[in-house]
Amino acid sequence: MGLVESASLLPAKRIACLSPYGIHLLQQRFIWYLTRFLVPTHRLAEATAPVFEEAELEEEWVTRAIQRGAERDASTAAFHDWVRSPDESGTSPQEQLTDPQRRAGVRRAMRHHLAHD
Amino acid sequence: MSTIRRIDYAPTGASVGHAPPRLERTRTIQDVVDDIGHLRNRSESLVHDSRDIHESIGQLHSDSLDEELRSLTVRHAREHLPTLLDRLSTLGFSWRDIAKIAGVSVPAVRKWRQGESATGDNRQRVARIAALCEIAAERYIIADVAGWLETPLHPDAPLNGLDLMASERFDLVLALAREQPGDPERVLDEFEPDWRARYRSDVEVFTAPDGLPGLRLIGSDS
Repeated sequence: MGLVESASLLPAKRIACLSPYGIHLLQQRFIWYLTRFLVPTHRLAEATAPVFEEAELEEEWVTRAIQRGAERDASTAAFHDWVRSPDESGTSPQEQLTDPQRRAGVRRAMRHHLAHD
Repeated sequence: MSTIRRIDYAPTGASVGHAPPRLERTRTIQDVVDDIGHLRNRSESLVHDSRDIHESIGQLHSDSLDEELRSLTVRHAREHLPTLLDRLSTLGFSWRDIAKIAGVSVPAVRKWRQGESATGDNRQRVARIAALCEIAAERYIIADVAGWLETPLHPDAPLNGLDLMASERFDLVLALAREQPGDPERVLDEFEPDWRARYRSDVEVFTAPDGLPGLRLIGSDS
């Protein structure tokens, strides 16, 4: 998952534009189709939340970097470096995003990093 | 006919203050049982009274918090909106959650951050988030308000303080802050009475060997 240029999101080429809940419904339907097992959407939301959180952080990071004149690919790579590198706690922000209680702290750390970069 | 003169047994001066002791009836088991029953009634009555007083104090506290939230909201609503949003950002809120509580889209919040104007109602909604954070941090010493709000209220329900705020139940969030750790089940019962049945599930999220979250049936090892 990552950011793309708005120009590449032409409505004519777009298949669907889903909210997170819409994605969970699609996942639920897909799992049901393959296995006949019905997974509650709130459990899918719980399992996939770290991915959505990371995508939102990446959007914020890259958007800000582009506003400052950085290249999209370079700033995406810089974000991935940051999110996967362990901090002083010994765990990476990516790992911390799996814990709902630590997500606000990851956002604060990222915004602090961007403000002082 | 002879007259019988009754002897006056009125106390003499020497006997004043020295009335003969009255003989008490020996207390029976029934007397003791009656006394215990009486004391029990009194203690129950006191328990009810103290419960009423406790509820009244709780209601008074809740009313004063609502009033404080209202006045702080009015004060924050006068602030420059991008500054207010920056403050929420510094606390660690996600833009998605701010948008959800304000009842708008994420792009709408992005436009406000860039200086576009918002309606009075929307300014009030954002201001109310800031007001609640101020009360939680300063009155109830919650160090990480955004993290606290984002923490699930109960392992069996996908609901947190942000969901309560998005449903305009700031009063329940303030009750949680006031009573922490408090009783999240009572709050959930008030917020969504059928939450136990609604979110009952045989599936749980676990950390897979690759370190990422996965789904499995409760009680299974893989």
